[in-house]
Amino acid sequence: MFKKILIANRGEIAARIIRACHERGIRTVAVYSDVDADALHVRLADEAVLIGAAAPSQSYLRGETIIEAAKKNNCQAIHPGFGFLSEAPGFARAVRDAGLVFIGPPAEAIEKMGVKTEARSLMEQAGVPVVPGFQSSSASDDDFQRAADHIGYPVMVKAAGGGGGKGIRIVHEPATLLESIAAARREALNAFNDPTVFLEKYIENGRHIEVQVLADSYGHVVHLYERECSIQRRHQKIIEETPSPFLSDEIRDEMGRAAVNAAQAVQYVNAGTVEFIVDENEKFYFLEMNTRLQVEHPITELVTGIDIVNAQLNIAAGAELPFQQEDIFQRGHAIECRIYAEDPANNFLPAVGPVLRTVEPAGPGIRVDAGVVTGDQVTIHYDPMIAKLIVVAENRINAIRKMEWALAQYVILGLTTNLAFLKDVMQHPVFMLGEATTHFIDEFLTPWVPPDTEPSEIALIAATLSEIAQAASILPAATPAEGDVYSPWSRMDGFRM
Amino acid sequence: MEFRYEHNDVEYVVQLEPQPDGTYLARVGDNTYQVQVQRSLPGQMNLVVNGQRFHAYTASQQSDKTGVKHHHVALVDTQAQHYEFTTAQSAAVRRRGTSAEGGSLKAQMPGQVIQVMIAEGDAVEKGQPLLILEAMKMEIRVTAPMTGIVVKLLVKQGDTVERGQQLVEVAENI
Repeated sequence: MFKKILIANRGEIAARIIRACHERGIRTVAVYSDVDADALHVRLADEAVLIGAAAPSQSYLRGETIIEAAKKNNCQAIHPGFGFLSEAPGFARAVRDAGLVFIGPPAEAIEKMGVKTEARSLMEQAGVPVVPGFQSSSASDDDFQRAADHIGYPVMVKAAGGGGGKGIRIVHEPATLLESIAAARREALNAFNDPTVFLEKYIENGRHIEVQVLADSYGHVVHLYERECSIQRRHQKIIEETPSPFLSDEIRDEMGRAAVNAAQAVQYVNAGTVEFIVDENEKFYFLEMNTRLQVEHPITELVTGIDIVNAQLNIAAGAELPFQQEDIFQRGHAIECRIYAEDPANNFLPAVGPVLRTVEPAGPGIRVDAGVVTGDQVTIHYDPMIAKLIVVAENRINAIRKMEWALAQYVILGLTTNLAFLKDVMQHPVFMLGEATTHFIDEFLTPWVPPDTEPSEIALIAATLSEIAQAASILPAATPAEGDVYSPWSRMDGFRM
Repeated sequence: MEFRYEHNDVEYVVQLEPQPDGTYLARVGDNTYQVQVQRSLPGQMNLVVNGQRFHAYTASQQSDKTGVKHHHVALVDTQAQHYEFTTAQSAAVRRRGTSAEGGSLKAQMPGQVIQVMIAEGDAVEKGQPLLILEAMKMEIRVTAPMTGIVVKLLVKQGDTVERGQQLVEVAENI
């Protein structure tokens, strides 16, 4: 096993990985930007290296600087976490070329899955269902029309060079197909300098369901079942659960096998996630593979009992997977809520500020993966996700109850968060029935109004009593040592150093 | 003792009278409460109010920019809500704060001004982008609320702004 690794990330995921390393007796090196000098991940790690200014391009995305820091501090491996450099094949390759281990898949696998059209044809060859579509550079208008009829409306016109929602048209009837293709071509030409478009079936009321896989370096691949991630705002997941309340056991197993095939088709190694879109008839189609650890990995850990970060370390160190597919099953039901520093009553726009106080819920089946605690700052520079609250219970309804309770216990004072919004989702009948699709928030919770617009009078009284208590404590707090209730000098029971 | 707070632009007055037995009599609007502080730690207290138990966490902070004191209260166990109050400002201060309404544009979110597309004196059309704010990988465009003239530009590229801070003032053409 490694003796020392560098974690090329920040926030809750860096904290999660550092703790997993410390459990194994592996020393850790954190990297940080100047605004993160006092951040949680820096405090937790054994050593920390300043790598630049706040903007990610000046710090967390500086691959060369990070590799240099790893070598200088005698690290044997680098864990990229998610986001930042985690899916950059160039970084994975540079780490390997520097004689270090990249805790993730080989650069070649990242590359193959990164090019969407290439991934699509690789998956077709491997027998993994892809969304029915049509692509041809020489097709005539007639060809497109025939293809669209064959696929069945509604269809999506997509730009081949695309991304960011540009050059996409949803076509509901044959009459508007050709003008939509023309419009998409114009937009694609402007945005990507490439007018090539292709057709894809538009999956209405789709659900976003993904499958976790683990693969060792000896070709052994297993799946750890699915995660349902349909609750999204601005195309970003906010709540995930497993098992999916929608899938039958038969389809669940089929999707698991498809995910294993997908991973094998690109000689995948380490932890990865195969994303599918599932239509109303339980037909599933490959969307893409996330070649890294996933934000929502904890729910899988809680129902399978497998520590995925620990497995990543073992696989990267050359170990074989210690289990077979038939040893892995789901037990109970887990839900994750992502806690964001944002204002759900104001279009989910980001909020920043000091974290004056956090109190995390605790109890059987409750887990908090937090990136900020009391005294930390949430700044404008990075992702607004500040923590993840994860629960597990015997069944779905008990998990929902537990989540509601845990959300109500979670105290985050000083900045606006989505805690109350998440509680509303838990109590929504459509969510409770397990019928939410990716349109759920737009359809049922937009615009969102906080449950009580008038403040509780009890809360007002608590504010005044707190002011009185603060005023009364100013005198005894004249010297710092006396004012600090946690200082060993104020303990009455004696202590030794 | 009297405390004045604001919440969503509404003022609330809390009167607190210490009683000989160590409890308090609290008045909020027309309601009267018998309050016993069971246990009080910094930022955390257990209250019995008219016989009902409450567990509150509190924190407060003064804004560097505005000087306004913000009070945060979370009630757990029973109500499970977070509240933010500000110490009520004098009428004069509040008037000053609102005098620039109309064509004035405030930041919808905290962030950094990454681009300014106009200058003072420019004629702008309704809906025209004036500047771009960025925070946490999200960009929002601030657009002109009406056709008119930019009378004041209060920020420049690179500035960090708080939510609610004034950015631009646009006046209608006369």
